[in-house]
Amino acid sequence: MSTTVDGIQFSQPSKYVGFDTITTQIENRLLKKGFQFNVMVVGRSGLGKSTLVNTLFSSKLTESNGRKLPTEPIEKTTSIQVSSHTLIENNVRLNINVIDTPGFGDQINNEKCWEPLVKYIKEQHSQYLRKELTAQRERNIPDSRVHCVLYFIAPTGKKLKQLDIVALKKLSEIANVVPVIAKSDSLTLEERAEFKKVLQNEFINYNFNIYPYDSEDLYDEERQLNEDIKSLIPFAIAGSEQEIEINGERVRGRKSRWGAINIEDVSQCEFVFLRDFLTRTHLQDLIETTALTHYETFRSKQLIALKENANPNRQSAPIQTQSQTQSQPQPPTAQPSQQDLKSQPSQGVFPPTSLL
Amino acid sequence: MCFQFTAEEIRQRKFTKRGLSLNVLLVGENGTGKKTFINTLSNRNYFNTISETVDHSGNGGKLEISEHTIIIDPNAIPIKLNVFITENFGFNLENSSNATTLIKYIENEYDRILKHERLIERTHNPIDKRIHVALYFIIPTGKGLNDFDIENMKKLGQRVNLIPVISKSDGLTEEELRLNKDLINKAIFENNIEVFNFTNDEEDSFPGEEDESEDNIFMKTLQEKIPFAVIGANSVTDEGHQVRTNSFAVIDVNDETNCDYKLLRNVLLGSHIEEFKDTTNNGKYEDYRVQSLTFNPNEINKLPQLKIYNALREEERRNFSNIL
Repeated sequence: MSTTVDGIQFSQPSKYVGFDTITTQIENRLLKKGFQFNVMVVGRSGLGKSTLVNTLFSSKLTESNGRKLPTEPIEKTTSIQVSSHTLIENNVRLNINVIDTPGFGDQINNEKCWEPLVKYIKEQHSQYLRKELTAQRERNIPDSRVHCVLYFIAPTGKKLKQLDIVALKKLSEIANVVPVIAKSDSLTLEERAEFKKVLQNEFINYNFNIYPYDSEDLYDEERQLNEDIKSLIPFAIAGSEQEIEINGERVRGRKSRWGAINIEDVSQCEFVFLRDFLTRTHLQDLIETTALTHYETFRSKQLIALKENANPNRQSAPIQTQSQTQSQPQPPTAQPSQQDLKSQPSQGVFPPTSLL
Repeated sequence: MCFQFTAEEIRQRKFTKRGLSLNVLLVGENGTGKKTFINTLSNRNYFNTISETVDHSGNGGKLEISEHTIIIDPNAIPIKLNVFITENFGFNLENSSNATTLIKYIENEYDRILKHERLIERTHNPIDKRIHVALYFIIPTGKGLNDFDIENMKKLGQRVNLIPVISKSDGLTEEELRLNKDLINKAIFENNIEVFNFTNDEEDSFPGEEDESEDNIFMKTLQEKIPFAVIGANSVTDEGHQVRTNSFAVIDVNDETNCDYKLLRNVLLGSHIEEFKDTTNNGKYEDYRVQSLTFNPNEINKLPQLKIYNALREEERRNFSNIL
C-alpha cells in the first residue's frame, strides 16, 4: 500500500517492522546527554532580571538583590557574568547558563555599552566554530552559544530610549531576542495595551528582527502559534520569588498594601505566556535557530573571509580578538584549500574584528 | 473703595484676587509620571498622558523643557502654577550634557533677573520665571541612585530647592519602598547632595533650646519622609476621591498610608509656597548672584558658549544617526 505526498512515494510495510521506536531511542540518548540552554538577560539595573530568571525556572539561578541591601555599588561598566546550573525534571537534564549583564545602561554615558554583549555572543560562535573545525574534535562540543536574549524594557509607557533602540538592533542581528516589559504590574491594563502598541510600532519602524522568525518548514499550527506569540510580544511580565496567600491559596506573587497580584494569573500578567513560550513550546526552536540561523550566518562569514585571506591577493593581516591570544596573528601564506586549515588543529585564524 | 467693609475683608478680597504663584520644575525621564502628577495636583486632565507616546516634537530626542501655566484654586484662593517639565531627560545614549542643560536653563533666568536688577531705570517688574522648587522624579530600582541621578541632583541642589520624589510608587511593596528610601537617602548623604531642608525654620529658637512645638515636630517627620513616594491618579471615584485604578486595586492617592502625595501637595500649594520663593531669592539666587558678580563684574556674554554648545549637540545627533 503506497501513498504519494509532495511527490514522494510512501509505502507502509505489510508487517510491523518496529523502526518507529527510533524516536524513543533518540530520546533515551538525549536523556543521557542532557540539554544545554544559554539565556542572556539584558536591561538596566533594577528591572527584575534576576528575579524573573529565578521565577522562570523556579530555582535560585542568580542572586537577585532587589530585596536585600546590595553590598557593591552599581557597576561602572557593562560586564558579563555567567552562572551555570543543572536542573532536572522527570529525568530530563537541562544545563542552563544564565548570562547576566550588570552595568548595562546604568551610566551617564551609555555609548557602546552593548559592545561587551555583542562580543560575548560572537565569541561563543567563534569558539564553537574553532572546535568544530578541529581535526580531532570533541565528540560533544559544549554549546555555549547564546540561545535567547531576554531584553527588559522599562515600564515607562513612552517610546523606546535611544539605548534600547541601538541595543535591540545590534542584538537581534546576531541572536534570538525576546523583548519583555519589566515590572508590568506597575501599569494598568489600559496603559499596558497602549504601551505594547507603541513598542510593536517601534519594532516595525526600526526593523528589528524579533524572534520568532518565519520559516517555510513550519506546520500551519506552528505558524499560527507564532502569529499569536508575535501579537503578544513584548510580554508584560512581573516576577516573584516569594509565595503569598491569595484567597487561601499559596501562589507566587507580590503583595502590597492595597492588593496582591498572582503572577501566574494570565489576566494580571503574562508571565505564564513567557514561561510556556520559552520552556514548553519554543525551547527546542530557540536552540535550533541559534545553530541553524545565527551560527550559520557567522560561520559562513568567517569561512568566506578566511578564503579571501588565504588568497594570494589578500589585504593586510586581520586583527585578532582578545579571545584568541594564543593563535597566530596571520594565516600562513599559500593556503589554497580549506583542508590544510583542518590540519592545524589548535590554531584558530579568524579575522573577526572586521565583521564585529 | 467701599468703606462699609472692614480692612480685613478688603485685604482678603484683594489677596484672593491677586492670588499666589509658584514656579515648579519637574525633572525626570520620560514616563516617570510628571505630567500625571500635575494632573492630580490640579484635579483636571490638563495633560493627556496615555496617548501622548509619539514623539510629537520631532526633535529626535533632544532634552527640552516645556512651560505650562495652570491655575489651581484650592479653597478659592487661586494659585498660578508655572510648571516647567523636562522632555527626553536621560533619553540619549550620552546624557552627560543633561545636567549642564538644566543648570543653564535655571541660570539663564537668574541672569535675566540679575540684569534687570542692575538697570538704572527699572520701570516695570519683570515676570519672575526663576524656579522656586525642583521635583526630581526617581525611578525606584532597589539599587539606590545611579551615577546619572547623583550627578544631576548634585548640580540641581546647588542652584534650586531640590525635593527628590519616588515616581510610580504603587508598584512597590512596603518593604521595597522602605529599601528604596533608605538607599536613596544613603546616596544623597554620601554624595553631599543638597536637598531642601524643611527643618530650617529655627530663626526664633536659641541654640540649645529644643523647640518642641508641633510645627517643628511635623517638619522633622516631613524631612524624614524624603524622598516623597508619589502615586499619580488616573480617575476620580463617584465620591470625588482621586484614585489610581489598576487590575487589582483602587488606590486613593490622597490617603497618607498609601503614599506621600498629600504631604507633598500640602507643602507645595500650602505651607511652603512663600518659603520656596524666599529661600530661592535669599538663598539660591543670592549664591548665584555672588558667584557671577565676583567672577565677572561685567555682563556675561553667553552667546559664544551657546553656539559651541549647540554645535556639540548637532554632532551628537549626527553620531547617533550614523550608528543606526
